Amino acid sequence: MKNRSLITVVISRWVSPFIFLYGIYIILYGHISPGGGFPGGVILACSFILALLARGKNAALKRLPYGLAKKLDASGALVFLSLALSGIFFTGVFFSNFLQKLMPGKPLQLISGGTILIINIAIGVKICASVFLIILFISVLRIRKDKEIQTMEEN
Amino acid sequence: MLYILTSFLFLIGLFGIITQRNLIKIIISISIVENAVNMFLVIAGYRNNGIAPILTSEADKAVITAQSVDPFPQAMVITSIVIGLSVLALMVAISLRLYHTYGTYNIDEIIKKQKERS
Amino acid sequence: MNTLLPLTVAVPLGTGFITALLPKKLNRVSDIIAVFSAGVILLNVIFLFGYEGIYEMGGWNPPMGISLYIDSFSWLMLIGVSSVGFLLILYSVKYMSIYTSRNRYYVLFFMMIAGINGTLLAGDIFNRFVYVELAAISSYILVGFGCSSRSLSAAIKFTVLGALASAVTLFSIAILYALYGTVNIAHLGAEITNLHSYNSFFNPLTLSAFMMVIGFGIKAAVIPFHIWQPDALETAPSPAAAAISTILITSTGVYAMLRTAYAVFNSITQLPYLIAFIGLISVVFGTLYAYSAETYKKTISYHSISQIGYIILGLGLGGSPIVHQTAPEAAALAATGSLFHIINYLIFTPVLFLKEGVYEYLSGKEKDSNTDYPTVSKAGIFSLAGIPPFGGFISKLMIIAACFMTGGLPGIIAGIIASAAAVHTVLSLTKKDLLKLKTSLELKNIPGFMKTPILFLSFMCLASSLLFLPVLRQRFLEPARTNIIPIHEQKPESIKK
Repeated sequence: MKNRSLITVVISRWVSPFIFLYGIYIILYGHISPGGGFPGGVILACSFILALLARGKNAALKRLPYGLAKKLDASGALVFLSLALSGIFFTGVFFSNFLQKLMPGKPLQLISGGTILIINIAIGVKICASVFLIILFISVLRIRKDKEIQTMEEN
Repeated sequence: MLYILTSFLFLIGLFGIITQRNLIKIIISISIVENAVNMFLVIAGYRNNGIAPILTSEADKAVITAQSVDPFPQAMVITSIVIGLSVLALMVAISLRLYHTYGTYNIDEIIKKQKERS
Repeated sequence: MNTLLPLTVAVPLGTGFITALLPKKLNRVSDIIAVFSAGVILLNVIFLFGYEGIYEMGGWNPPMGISLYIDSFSWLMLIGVSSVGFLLILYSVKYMSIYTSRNRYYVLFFMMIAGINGTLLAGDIFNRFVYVELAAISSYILVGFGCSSRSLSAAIKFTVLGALASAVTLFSIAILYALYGTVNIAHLGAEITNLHSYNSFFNPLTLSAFMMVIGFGIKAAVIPFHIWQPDALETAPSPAAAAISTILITSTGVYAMLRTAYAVFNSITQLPYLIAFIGLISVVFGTLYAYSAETYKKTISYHSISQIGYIILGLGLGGSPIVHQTAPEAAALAATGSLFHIINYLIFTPVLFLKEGVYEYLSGKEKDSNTDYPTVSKAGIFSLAGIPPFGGFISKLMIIAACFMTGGLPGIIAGIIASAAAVHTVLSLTKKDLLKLKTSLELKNIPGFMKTPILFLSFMCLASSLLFLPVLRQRFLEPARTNIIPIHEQKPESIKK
């Protein structure tokens, strides 16, 4: 899309941080108000996808590089699993909410809920990286017929 | 009554999967079927004159437990929507690769070209 | 509360995530991690022998919490799945060098193993549905792993049918939740006892049962719904094809359908007859369709459909409450024979697929073996055909004898049809000259990693007929047989009503 108007480029550059902030809010307050890991992660990915649609693949990949997205994907899942396994060390039960016994808080505060907060953050990061990679693979990558490897071409 | 309408939507999507010849339309029909099943599951948790199960202040606990709709199907539906999303992304990616190889989305022509090439 | 139970699911998940982090150059490291963790899973399952109980995740009591449940039937399937998985990982260390991205293959394979372990251990139907989907999505990608156009068209067929199956299964779970308000298997089995509150046969409960049979039937590749199976098994990489046809079909298809039919829908007494009828159709038409197969892999996949039909026929008769009341010895014999046939199926089917993998590895492309190319091992075909010293003979004989012993006209007709189909299997394999191949073990340097699983499984094809001896049968098969009957009769004490 070579003919990009100036308005979409500038406005997308201004609006993306607000979308990102809103996604962080939905992830962090997941145990108090509706939301949590899954929708928050998708909204986080939306800010990068807005950059991809409005300004092209180079701008989006400058924000969130390809290798970093793959590593965030796997490490988010690993943080989730290690938190579930460390429940065995602290209380002897797999996947138990051990942080609530260590750091109890008043209800409707950010700290109450224990491990749910950290699990929400891990899932949010993973879903953001995954959804961004899905849209990247579908829209940007092409296959070169002679060498059968995937190279990135201009969208 | 709402259950019957949701099942009707399920049957519409099922009809789409069986009869459509274009791969993109089959994928859209699968999405309709998944949405119908998720809707059925959410409707199953409804209570008459129920309120949303969101705790906004400490004093609301008794009201919430007495009068809210069932939150358990909503948790099930979150998981189901994510599963549907991943299957949908996979199907779109595979059909895109098929388009690059065969040049068409029509499943009859894909089968015909596959038989010609092998 | 044994901690080994959630570790059976957590270890393959963790291995999948760790292998996803490794860059493409560290192939040897990912091989070592894969073999090591497959061994850890196998040891884990071996240490669970004889343990029956519930594990409550996070300490929450059911019905609010999720629980894992193990008994002897689950353990029998778990040990079979874990051993076959370990041998397939050993095979794919050398085999996957003909594909380019080995790390992603291990990620997908371990996700599939994690999903299958979770299916066998889950204590409520919605959690089991999630694990079934985890295993199924990994297998959709494994079918299209070669990225050739044939693999991709097989993968899209498999994905569309699998997505339909998952939607239908979720619909049946939704109906059950709307009627009874719980998804825990023990609670549901206790509450679905009065069918008499519905006047007619067309009520929501039987609709839920039908949709469950259709959904899990598509996953188990029985005859009305088998369409994805021959193309998918032909184009997948050989260890993945072996994994899909053995451990995915038996655990997410056969085991899930039978557990739900006997633990949840226990009071619908006609349901096991429907399941046995579907099994009988699969037995007959599996061997008939094998005539139309062009390649060796398609022939084998049609014959394995018919073997799954035997398992479902035997377990359909073996757990049915009506047969238990009228002819209890027939039910016991059918159940024992089917469990024995599951073990035999898990042993001979990988041999058939891994043999093809040897040709593909040696010749570098997908080569269809014809009759003048010597084969590594013939034990798989002999055990499938049911020829006497091999294990497949005894289990098929037990199932067919139990069909005759149920008495009454349908049982006798079923027995005659099943035994005719067994003879027909042997004839059709002979017609395609598959029983007359020359055996040669020195096929131009097969790597040791690939030879060992094939030889070990071929030896077990012969040795599994020893499982019929009473001393081994009572330790392994009898406890599993008594556990097919619904689990709510042995209600654990942590359920508070």
